[in-house]
Amino acid sequence: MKKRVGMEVSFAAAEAVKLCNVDVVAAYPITPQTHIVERLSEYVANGELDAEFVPVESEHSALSLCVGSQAAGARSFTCTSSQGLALMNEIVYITSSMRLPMVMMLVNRSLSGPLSIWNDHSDVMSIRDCGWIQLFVKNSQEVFDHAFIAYKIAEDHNVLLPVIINFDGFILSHMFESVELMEPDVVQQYLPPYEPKYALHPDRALTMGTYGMPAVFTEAKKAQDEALLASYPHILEAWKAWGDLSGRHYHPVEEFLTKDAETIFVTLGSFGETAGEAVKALREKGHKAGLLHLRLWRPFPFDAFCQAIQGARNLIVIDRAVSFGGPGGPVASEIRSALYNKEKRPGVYSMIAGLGGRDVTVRDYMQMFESVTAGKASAYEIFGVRG
Amino acid sequence: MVVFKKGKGGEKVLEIRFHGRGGQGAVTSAELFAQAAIMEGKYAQAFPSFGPERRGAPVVAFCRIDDRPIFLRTEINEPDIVMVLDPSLLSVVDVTAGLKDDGILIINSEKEPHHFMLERLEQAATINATQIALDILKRPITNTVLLGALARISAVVKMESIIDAIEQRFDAKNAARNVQALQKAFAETLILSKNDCKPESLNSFQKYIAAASTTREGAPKADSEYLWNELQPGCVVTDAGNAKSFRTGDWRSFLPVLNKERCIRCGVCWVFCPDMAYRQDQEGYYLVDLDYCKGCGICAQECPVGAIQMEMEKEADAV
Ligand code: SF4
Ligand code: SF4
Repeated sequence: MKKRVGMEVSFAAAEAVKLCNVDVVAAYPITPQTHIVERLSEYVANGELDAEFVPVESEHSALSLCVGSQAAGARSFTCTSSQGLALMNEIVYITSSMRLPMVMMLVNRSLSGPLSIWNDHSDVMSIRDCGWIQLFVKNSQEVFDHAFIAYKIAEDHNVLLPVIINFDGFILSHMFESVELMEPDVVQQYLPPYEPKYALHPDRALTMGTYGMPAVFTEAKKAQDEALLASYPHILEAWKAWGDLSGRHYHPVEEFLTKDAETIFVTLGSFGETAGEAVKALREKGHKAGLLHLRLWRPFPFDAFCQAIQGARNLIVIDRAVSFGGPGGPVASEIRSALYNKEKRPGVYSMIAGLGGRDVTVRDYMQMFESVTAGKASAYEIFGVRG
Repeated sequence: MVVFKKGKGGEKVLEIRFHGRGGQGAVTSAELFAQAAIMEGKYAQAFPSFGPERRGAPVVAFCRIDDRPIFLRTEINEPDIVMVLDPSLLSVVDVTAGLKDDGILIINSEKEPHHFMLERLEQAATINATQIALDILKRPITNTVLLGALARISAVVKMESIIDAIEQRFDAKNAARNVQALQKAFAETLILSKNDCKPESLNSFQKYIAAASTTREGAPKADSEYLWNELQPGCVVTDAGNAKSFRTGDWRSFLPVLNKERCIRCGVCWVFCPDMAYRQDQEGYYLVDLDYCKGCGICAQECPVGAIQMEMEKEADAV
């Protein structure tokens, strides 16, 4: 077994990006993503990483630059949080429609206002339909591993889509915890140098970022949607290959004690780890509780999800963003619509929790469980709100 | 004069499609007609086929008139009347596409209407609008002129209302000239009904339509022919330089003519031509490639010694 080392998760993330041997890093510092970028700039400055580090003037420029460098055939990386993502928004959609296989780490933080630097998922939910592959990871090891996995998926010529690795700000990004590092040659074996399918080159002229008249725009969007859906088996392949190499296996939907569970928590991100503790405690008391962690958010793993919750009576879906004026949290609403045509479907309870850095404890999860199983919970509530 | 058709519910409806070139005012034409109808208390819409407009490119505009409020937000694919502002379009666009049986074709042409008569039409009309525009407006802008022909042929909107609409839109001097052109067109429009057409002239226009509908060899595949799974990832265009197959020369109604005696071979025309139509010959003169010259006149404007004159293209006489 390899040695585990202790380090801040942001630094583990930067270490992984360095091992990916990226060619271009363009990012603008924003809390809580800052440590990743700082560390990468040091790597470039001291020669540990042979890459262009571009200290751009905004996130919009950061992603625009990566679009350019990726189009020219360079493995490109950016990372951001919250308002930074909001500023990037325009280019986020362009990146995926151009099918540029770059990787972004999104250190999740709430969108202002009130101004908040703390963690929730309102940033990522604002780009739910952006066409990138979107993954959620929940501990240092998963962050570290997914840097390689993300490039492996993105650059697969059957995929050619950008990937976002979501991880929670502060509660994960600033956590000091253990991680098992990988040797560069092992990483290289898994992730060979980037071979673009198309790259801008003076000798081989081609056009990217074209214009789409009404007569062809629908076909272009259909092709993009099909590409995202068709990436699914290749995502599984990338995880399988990584599992074979590292012994760490990942799945689109991760189940914990769901087999005979009557009530299942559904979570995204590192909050899921705490919910697992609550499930253990509930099991000890004889309750049939389970936990489902949605690792893959886009493409949404419908079949795997439905399989995993078969037989459950209640789903408690934890959303960490509000869909203002809507029928529930964004994840819960999506799950409800995924289940709508199923004959036997569980009740879906949409619980908004953990907004703007609000802690959610084992006791809180147990309370949610009790109110749902006692029939006291409503279909949609902001859990623990005062007043 | 024809009093217009009844719609299904007995109401009067009229749908007109205008074919012109970017810069010729097809949209203005549609808007003026709609405005005239609205001033009479009717309901009307006028709108272009939305898109990037380039000077000289074929464009279409639409006008829909009804006695009752209109709830359609779609282009007009089956017009009652088709108006052609520029005769050079006839060889590039099938202007009759979707035109209703018993429909009417109004063409800016120096020819007589029997050249354009089709069996399925009710009437064909011609007016030498370019000449009228050049005489009165001093520019080949045929939009208001054509409305004179439209007013003559359709009783849906009164001539006075069109004049009101023109007066509302232009300053007094321009309005007066446009009204003069409108009235001249009204008087000079030649109208032919199918029944009065000699059988031998019937359908000779069909050849034109066939030519306009055939895709030129080597032309790129049209956007509307692509299936979603035929597109390259990210819609990347891999065949570099394919603009070559896009013959903007089809758009031309004016032709740059070089006076070599004046030309100082400076290359300014070559620099300014937006469609890169100029090539330098061995003596250093810049000659225009008519496959790509769209007739915009920029080269003539920019030439420092006035060596380029824009001349009107002759109306093709394939018929
Ligand atoms: S701009 Fe005029 S003078 Fe100069 S090369 Fe062209 S035609 Fe000749
Ligand atoms: S050659 Fe002159 S008229 Fe023709 S497209 Fe070029 S600039 Fe316009």
